[in-house]
Amino acid sequence: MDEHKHILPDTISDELLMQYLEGKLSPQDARRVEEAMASSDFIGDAAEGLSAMDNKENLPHIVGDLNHHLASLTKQQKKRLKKNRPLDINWMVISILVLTIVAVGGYLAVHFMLKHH
Amino acid sequence: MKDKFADITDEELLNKYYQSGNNEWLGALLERYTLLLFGTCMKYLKNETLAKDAVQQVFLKAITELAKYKVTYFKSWVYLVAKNHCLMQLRSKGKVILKEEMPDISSHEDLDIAALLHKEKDIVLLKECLLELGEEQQVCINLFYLHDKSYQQIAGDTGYEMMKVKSYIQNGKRNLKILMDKKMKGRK
Repeated sequence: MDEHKHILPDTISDELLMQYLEGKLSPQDARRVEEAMASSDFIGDAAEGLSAMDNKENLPHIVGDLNHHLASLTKQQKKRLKKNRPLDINWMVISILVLTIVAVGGYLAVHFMLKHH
Repeated sequence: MKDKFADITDEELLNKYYQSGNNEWLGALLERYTLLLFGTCMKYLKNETLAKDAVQQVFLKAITELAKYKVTYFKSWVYLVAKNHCLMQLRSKGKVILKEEMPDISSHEDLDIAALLHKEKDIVLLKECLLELGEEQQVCINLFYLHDKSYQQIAGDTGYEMMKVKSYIQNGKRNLKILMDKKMKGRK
């Protein structure tokens, strides 16, 4: 279990936590996971919730589904950003055109009025 | 479950998100905690479907909230968001919430008993406080931190159930922190 040697006290990989829940770790590695559980409420609560599950073999599917949902959430925002950008540019061009027309129109009107006076 | 950004820390991922506004960085960060979030929601809601829904709500909340303000301790923050969400769900269903289940804002500053044990002047204080804990908490903390025993070994030695051992250690640690804070303030 060399790959587990450098776990920080409050950090463990999903794989290691799963192996712990399945009772597949050596007492030393189990102790390291428990140290992480004791030093982080997040890991402690999660391990408690997961260990109470009847079908732990479903966990990879559940995590996969949730990550898939997460990816769709982050992509939605990306699409929205892309859609919004051309609209913003269009509004900017329209605003500049309107302002130019008003300015030129105003100048011509004043110029015309002064000429007639 | 492979993390393609394994070499990048949470802090770096969060900074990349804040700099670019690209939600994909946030997605990569949240993905690291999917299993822990699901487990936490399972602990409180005790139902797979409800826990899955809760995690999806936490994802949505993280995407919305992090766009509004800066978070420094992402792991503690996302844990508190999940825990608060679950407690609110339970409260809306009229379930009683125990005081020890209430979110602890300072939880990112967990009491590092192992580190304290290496500081001589803190050992005396720690040992004093340890004696003020209930017997079960005292025994479990002693065996876990001072004798490096696993939960299973402690359960075997004491006859307590594994989950009880875990809760004695967690609650004992919380009580130790409260006691030590009190004593340290009293000395100032």
